[in-house]
Amino acid sequence: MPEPALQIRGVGMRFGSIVALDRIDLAVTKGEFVCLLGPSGCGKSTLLNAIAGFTQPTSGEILAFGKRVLEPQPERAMVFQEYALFPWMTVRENVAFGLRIRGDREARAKADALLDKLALRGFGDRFPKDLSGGMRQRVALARCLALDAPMLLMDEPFGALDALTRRSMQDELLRIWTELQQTIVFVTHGIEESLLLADRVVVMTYRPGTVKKIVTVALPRPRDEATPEFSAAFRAITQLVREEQRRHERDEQT
Amino acid sequence: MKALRSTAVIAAALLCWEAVCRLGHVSPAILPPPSQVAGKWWEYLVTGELPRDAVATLLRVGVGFVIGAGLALPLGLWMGARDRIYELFNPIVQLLRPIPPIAYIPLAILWFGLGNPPAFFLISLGAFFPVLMNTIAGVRSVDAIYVRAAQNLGARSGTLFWRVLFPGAMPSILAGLRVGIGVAFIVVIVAEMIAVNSGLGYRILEAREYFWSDKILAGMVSIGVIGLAIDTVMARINGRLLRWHRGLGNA
Repeated sequence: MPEPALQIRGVGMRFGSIVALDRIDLAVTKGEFVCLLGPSGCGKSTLLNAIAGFTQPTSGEILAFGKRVLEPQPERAMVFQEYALFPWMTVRENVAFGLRIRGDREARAKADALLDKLALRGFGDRFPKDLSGGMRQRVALARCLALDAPMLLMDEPFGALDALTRRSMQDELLRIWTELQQTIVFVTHGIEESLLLADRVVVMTYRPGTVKKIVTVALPRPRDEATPEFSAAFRAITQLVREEQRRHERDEQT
Repeated sequence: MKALRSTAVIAAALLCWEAVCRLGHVSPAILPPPSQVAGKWWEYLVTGELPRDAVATLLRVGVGFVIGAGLALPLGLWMGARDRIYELFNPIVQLLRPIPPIAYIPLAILWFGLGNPPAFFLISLGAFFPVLMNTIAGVRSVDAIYVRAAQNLGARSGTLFWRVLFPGAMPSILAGLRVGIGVAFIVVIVAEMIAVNSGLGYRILEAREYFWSDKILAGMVSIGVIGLAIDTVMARINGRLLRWHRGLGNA
């Protein structure tokens, strides 16, 4: 039995009368790449925020590497959809931020090495406003990688990017993951994206958010959308997601 | 081209003014022509009276502004960062804020007599509230996502404050400082008319006693030029400090 990196046990989350999450159970093993997939409003970001420790679930518990999650920790590094780069810091200062807090004397050198690795050489002294969306998200990724986090939490990180940039960022992420073998929990509403990336896809239900089905993606890597196996998996998951999407739309009409 | 057109507007206004005076429609005692005002201004300058007055005024603005902003900034940061402190102080701030600094003049004279102390008091009061309100608003409006990102990267309260909340609030703080020094400059003129016998404000009131309308106007022009200079310097400083800021007009 592989060692669990993340254990989610009976997690529920209420905001007043709204039940955002209900009895979620999920175990993620070390080095596994898991996607949380569902329509907007299914609580996938809520669950990710709870895993990050930004919020506490109203019931159940979350354990990361055997310890209960009580607050945000650099070991569970978060990549936000909106990048959340500090606009008042240069790119280099952003990447070095976590290292400086730790008191790392080589923060600057390590930050520069990461900028090189993520094809951002020469942009260290720029401010985030001068960068394109794809570059900003690479800086955000570098900022998390700088801390050698064993777990990456990614909240629709490529959602704001154009299709081509998204595709190259997905490849980049897979390369990094193959090299460093972090545990990744990746929130998306893109079915294709989840199939390109994940070992397992957790399809969530719409309000209350629960686990509808966990689909293991057995396709070999690198994955190719043009294969019949990929298409079959795509159809199967699309079926599941559309059921929830329909419930969501009915809900909005009433 | 733009600069040329706006200069033309100014020149036309001056010409109209000059013409109205020359045609004898108004008494020069009421409204002297701009040429006479310019002459007086030159005299005011070369006798050394204007530089002395300007220095006196600027010193008062400087001291008052440093006191007012120096008190408002830490209080604003504290109130912005801590909800409990905000709730504690906000009602009294809201009560005192609408009272114009000018309304404190009788009290200022009663407390501090005449001379610089009441002027410092009034000027610092004028600078205090704009800086305070903008600092509070600036800290409170820092996007929560930056706080989350910083916490996630391991930042705790000290780092969070100095490296996230404070720089995040900086655009608003600087805007507050700019408004604050503008108000301080308004208040200094009033204070000089009432409490002291030097400075630009005193000088134009003194000129009225002798019906020197040209000197009144020369003094007013000087006040305008210095006010513009202060604001331009502040705008430059803002631009320099906010290089990172998106959509920064240097206006």
